Amino acid sequence: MTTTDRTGSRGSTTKSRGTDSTTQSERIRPDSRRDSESTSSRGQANLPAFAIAVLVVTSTATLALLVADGAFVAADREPIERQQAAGFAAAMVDAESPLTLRANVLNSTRVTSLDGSLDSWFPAAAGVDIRVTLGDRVLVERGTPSGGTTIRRLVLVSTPDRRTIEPVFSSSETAVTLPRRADSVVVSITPPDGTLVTTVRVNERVVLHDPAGLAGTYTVALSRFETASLRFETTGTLPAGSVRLSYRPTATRKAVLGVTVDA
Amino acid sequence: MSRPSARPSETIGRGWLDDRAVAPAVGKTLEIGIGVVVLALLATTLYGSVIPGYRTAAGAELGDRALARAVETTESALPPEGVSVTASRTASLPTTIRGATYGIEAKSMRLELRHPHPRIGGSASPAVPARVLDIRGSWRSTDPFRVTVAGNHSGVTMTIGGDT
Repeated sequence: MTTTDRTGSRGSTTKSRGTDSTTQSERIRPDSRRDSESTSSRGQANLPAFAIAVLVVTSTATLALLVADGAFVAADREPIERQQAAGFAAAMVDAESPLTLRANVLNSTRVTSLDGSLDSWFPAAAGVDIRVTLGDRVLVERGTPSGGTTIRRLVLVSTPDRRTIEPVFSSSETAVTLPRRADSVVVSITPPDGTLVTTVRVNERVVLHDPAGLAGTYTVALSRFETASLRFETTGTLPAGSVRLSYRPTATRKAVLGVTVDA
Repeated sequence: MSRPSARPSETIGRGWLDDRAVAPAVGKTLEIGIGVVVLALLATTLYGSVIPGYRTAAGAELGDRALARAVETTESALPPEGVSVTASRTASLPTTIRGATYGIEAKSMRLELRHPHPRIGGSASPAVPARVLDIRGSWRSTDPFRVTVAGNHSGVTMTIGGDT
C-alpha cells in the first residue's frame, strides 16, 4: 500500500493533474501490476506467521498436557494397599497379637502355624492377596501378591530353650546364679535324709519357705529384667543332685518381617 | 489509501482496486477463522475430556488416600484391652473430592468410600484384632471424621461418624 501511495503522490507532485494522465497511467500500470502481485503475497504473508503461531500454541498445549500426564503418572500411588500392608504388619508385631510374646518379639512356634490360622487371627486378611515373609522364609501366601506394596519390620524371633542345671553346693556356699535370664524356673528339691531345705531366696527375696522342709517340684516366677541368683537355706549339707533347676531361657534372633499386600 | 478522485476511474478500473483489497481481507478472515477454530478445538479438548479426566484421576487418588487415612485412623483408634473401653479418634479428611461431597460407610468390618463419580471409591478393611466385634456407622464429608470405640474386655465395637 505504501509503495502505491508513494508512487501516486510522486506522480501528483511532479506532474500537473489532467494533462498527462495517459502517460501517468501507462507508467503506473506495470508498476501497479507488480504492486498488486506483491501486495497479494504480502497480504497473505501474515498467514505463514499465523500458521507458525498456531503451531506454537498447539505444540505448547500438547507439551503441557504431556507434562501434566507425566505428573499424574508419577503421582500414582497405592495408598490403600500400602495402608493394609502397614496395618497387618503392625497388627502382627503388636503386643496383643497371637504371634508375639511381647511387642516386636515373635514366638517362633506360633509363627510356623500362621499359615493355618491367618484368617482366625487376622480376620481382615480374608480375601486379600497377601504374603508374609520372615527373613527369606515365606510364612503365608494367599492369592497372587505379584508386585504389591511391602512393609518390612525388624523383629526378634524368640525360640524357647530348656536348660537344666544341677548345682553343686559346698557347706559354706549354697547359692547358684542362673546363667541366663528366664521368666520362671522349676526347682526340684530332693534333699537327702536328715537335711531340711527351709527357704529358697531369689536375689535375697524369700520365694519358698517351709520350716518343715521343702521337697518336690516348685515353679518360681522370676523377673526378666535381672539375673536371678538362688540361695538355699538348709539345715545340713546338700549333695550334688539333690537340687535341680530347670528353666527356659529364650534365644532371640533378629529377623525382618515382610508383609506384602497387592490390592 | 489511494485517492480515486486523483485518477480517472476508467483508466484504473474497479477490478484493480478489488484485487488489491481482497488479499488482506481474505487473509484476515482466514486468520480469524483459523484462530477461532484452533481456540475452539483447544478449548473443547481441554474442557471436554482432558481436564475432567485429570480431575477424575486426581479425585480417584485423593479418594484412595482419604480412605487409607480413614482405615489408619480406625486401626489406631483401638485402645488396649480393658474392662471398660471408650475411646475416640478424629482425623481430618478432605471435605470434597472432585468438587463433590462424599461419604464413608462401614459395613461388615470394611470401610467403603462412596462418591457420586463412579471412578472414585473403593473399600478396605482395617487390620484390627479379633476382639473388635463390629465396625459400623457412616460418615459424610461435611462432618469431622471420628472413630468411637466402646466395649469391654470381651469385645469392642467401633463406630465411625461425625457424631460425638
